[in-house]
Amino acid sequence: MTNQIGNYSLYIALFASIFLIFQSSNSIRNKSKNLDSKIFSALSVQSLMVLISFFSLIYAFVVSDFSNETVYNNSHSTKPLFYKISGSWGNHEGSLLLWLLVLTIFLFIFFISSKKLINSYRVLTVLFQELIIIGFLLFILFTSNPFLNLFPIPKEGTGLNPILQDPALAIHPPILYIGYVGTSIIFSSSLAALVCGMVNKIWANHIKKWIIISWLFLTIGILLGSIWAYYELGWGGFWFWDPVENVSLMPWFCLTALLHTIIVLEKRNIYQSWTIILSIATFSLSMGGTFLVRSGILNSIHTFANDPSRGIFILCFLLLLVLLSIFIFFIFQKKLLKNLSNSFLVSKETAIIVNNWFMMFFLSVVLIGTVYPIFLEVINGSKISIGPPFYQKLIVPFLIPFLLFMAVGPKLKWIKDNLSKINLSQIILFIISIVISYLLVKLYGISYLLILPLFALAFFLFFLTIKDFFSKESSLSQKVSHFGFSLFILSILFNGILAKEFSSNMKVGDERKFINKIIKFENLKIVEKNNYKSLIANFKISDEKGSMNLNPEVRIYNQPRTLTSEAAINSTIYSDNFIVFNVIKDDGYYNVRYQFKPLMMWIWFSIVLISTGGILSYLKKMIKNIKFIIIILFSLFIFFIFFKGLEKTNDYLPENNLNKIETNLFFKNLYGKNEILLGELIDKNSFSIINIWASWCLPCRDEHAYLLKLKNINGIDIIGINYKDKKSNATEFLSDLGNPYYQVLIDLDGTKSIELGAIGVPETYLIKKNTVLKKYIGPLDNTKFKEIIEIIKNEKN
Amino acid sequence: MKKIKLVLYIFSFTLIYLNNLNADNSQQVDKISKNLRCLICQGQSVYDSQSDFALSMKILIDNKINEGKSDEEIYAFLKNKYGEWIVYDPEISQNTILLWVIPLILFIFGGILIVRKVSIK
Repeated sequence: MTNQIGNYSLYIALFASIFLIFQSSNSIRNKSKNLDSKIFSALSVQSLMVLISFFSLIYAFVVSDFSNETVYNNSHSTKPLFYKISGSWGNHEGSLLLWLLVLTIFLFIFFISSKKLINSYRVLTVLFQELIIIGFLLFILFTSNPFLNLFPIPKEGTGLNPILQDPALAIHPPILYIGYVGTSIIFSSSLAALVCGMVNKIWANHIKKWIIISWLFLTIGILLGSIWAYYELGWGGFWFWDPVENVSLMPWFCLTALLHTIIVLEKRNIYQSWTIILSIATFSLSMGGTFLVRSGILNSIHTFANDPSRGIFILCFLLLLVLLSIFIFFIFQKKLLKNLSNSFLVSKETAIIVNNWFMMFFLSVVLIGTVYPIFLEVINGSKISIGPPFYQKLIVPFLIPFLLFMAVGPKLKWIKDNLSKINLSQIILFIISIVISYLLVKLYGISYLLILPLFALAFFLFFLTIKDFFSKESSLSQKVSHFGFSLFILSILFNGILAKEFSSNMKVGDERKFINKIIKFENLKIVEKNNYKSLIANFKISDEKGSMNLNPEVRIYNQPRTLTSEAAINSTIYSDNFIVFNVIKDDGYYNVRYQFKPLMMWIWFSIVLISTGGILSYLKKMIKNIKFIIIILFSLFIFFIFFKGLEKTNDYLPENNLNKIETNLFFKNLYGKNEILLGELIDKNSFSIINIWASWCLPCRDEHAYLLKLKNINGIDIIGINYKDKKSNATEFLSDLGNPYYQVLIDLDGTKSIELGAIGVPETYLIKKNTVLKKYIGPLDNTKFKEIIEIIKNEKN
Repeated sequence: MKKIKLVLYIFSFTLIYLNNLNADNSQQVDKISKNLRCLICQGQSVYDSQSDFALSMKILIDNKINEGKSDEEIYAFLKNKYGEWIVYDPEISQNTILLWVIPLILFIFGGILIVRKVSIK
């Protein structure tokens, strides 16, 4: 029943959308002065319908209605109510519905809150926004409908990914989406303003609120995502330069630039086309981000469902919107005032454009780092990985001038200023900052060259903004945000140089010394919970000042069966003590990782402070054809690359050039004590097969029958390599299922398999004279089996 | 030479079984494994992953360090086995030169644009 309600409301919303597009283009064509009340009613109906369908999905999740396919795939009746609700947007279909909801509600609020502005601008914004909404509606209805029926109705659902069962993550997506979707209103209204020729102070003043709101939500959304990563992923980091994280950072850079530029437009009526370009770019990056995340084109820890057909839809839709905005931009930009008054080098305008300059640089680093591997793979087929070192190397040095401009910029006056008014107190603060940083660097014996200027300038910004709080110049929100940023850089720097980590394999009762601390594994207990089983460890960490107990957990979830590690974190305002443990195969031993992380709280707090600046300001109240063609071609080219990129898989595949096998390896034998050289087992003249297996590996069980069949073919010896297994289990496995192997070698710690180039079990290599003819990752099946037979036959002839 | 290598192999393997991970190497192992992609995981480094592959990889790195291999030799060994895909920090090469250069070019370009727009008086 709820399925039908949800489904039909979406269709009604679709009709409302079509109606609105016709109605708004009509009223623009007729230049009708009085605003059509039909638009208002259609917008209300649309928002209401989307709201109904969103709540019917939540309802289906709450009552565990497994006739709904989305509920079946992502929920389970034993799940706590809170996660049932958050589960409704924790999946691909539901999250899109949430997007749509925010899109329509935002438009509705925009429409009723812009009554003071001219009608044609309001109606045009509705038109552009409806184009986006209709795209999303079609996308939801035809590729990702959350209201599909299942028959027969299953008794139980398959569960929600346990790592998503976390309070920070439950509210993180909606907040991030509000930020993303907020940029759509900025996009639509900037295009509308461009068409109406009202890119001016009035428009800037109006759209600024929307920019701040989106920026606020985006900032907090990113913050919550990092907090989630820190507490739940259990690696002790909070930012991994993972593609999905980068994707949220890119619109943030753009939006931050826009946030600064819009102030110039509001005060000085310049930088009009740049403002429009930034608005278009911000929204394109949000949409492009969705494409990158949802299509599975990127290899990320956060990957949602991977479905190339969805990717193609978003890609085409994005291309259409980008082309549309380029067209509009080049047609209507003549209406923009040419910059009548040039700005002067030493002025607030220039300082703000310098901010934009750096923001665009950071954006380009992140953007290129994220998409470069896709481009490279499509263009010449090589796979590379770009990780944290790349971003750090390019971003960190540029933070130094950035901090300096950030300190000096806000002090400058509009239009024209001069630098001669630098006063004594600033110079004194600057010298103090340098001295403090020098002492710090000496004290901690840091050898990294850039730390000294980074510290010095972060301190300079820090002191200067504190001093500014006592002066009346410039706005409070700017002071708070900039102060927050200096605090952010300082906490990250301190955190970076003072953090200590330690990892070891321990069993209950073990004690390890680490610097001046003693870490003791006191006990371990097993607790049965509603939807998971939990291993709770108790560690005692003591130093001369005292001791504390930390209880990290390993959770074993039933639906779906997954292991997660819950870190135990003791946070104080000075430092965090972070401990996490993992089950390893060796009985009784656990891999324990302890980290001492100073000033973690301050990192979170400084980001909150940066966003507080945003809240405060809210409370207070085609140049040439050739360029046009180049941009069009360029967007088509990017489209083509992504289109091609969809065909590539992101799984690791062995490279073909590695076909020599390492034979100079000694192994122990499963049935014996002597060491055997692998090279001696391989048939010098004919075929051999190496099969890496383990008794605990389920797919190995499946492929076993094929191995037995292969054994019966003359002239092939199968060499089994028993991977990280117990001797007794392995022999039992072979006596139960039959032994296809000519020799079984043991690889207890898995290192020899790496020498052979393996990544896991099962893996099978077809070898002739020390050369690998074929490498199979994963279990053998009928097709692979036939292929092996075929190769052997052909080679023999 | 081969015999010495062999003795070293056996020696280092037994050593590891005797006292698990060699504590002296752990920092270097951490450093290297942070820069390696866990091939069977989604976007995790070997350091962060607890998969079998990653655990073995850490032992292997430890072994290689005990053999006296330098960081570069270990990276080279792994790249030879698994390709460039495994390292997170791409070297400057024919394939990656643009990666490093584009952002810098854009930065310089932006600077020129600003200087041209702003009148210096």
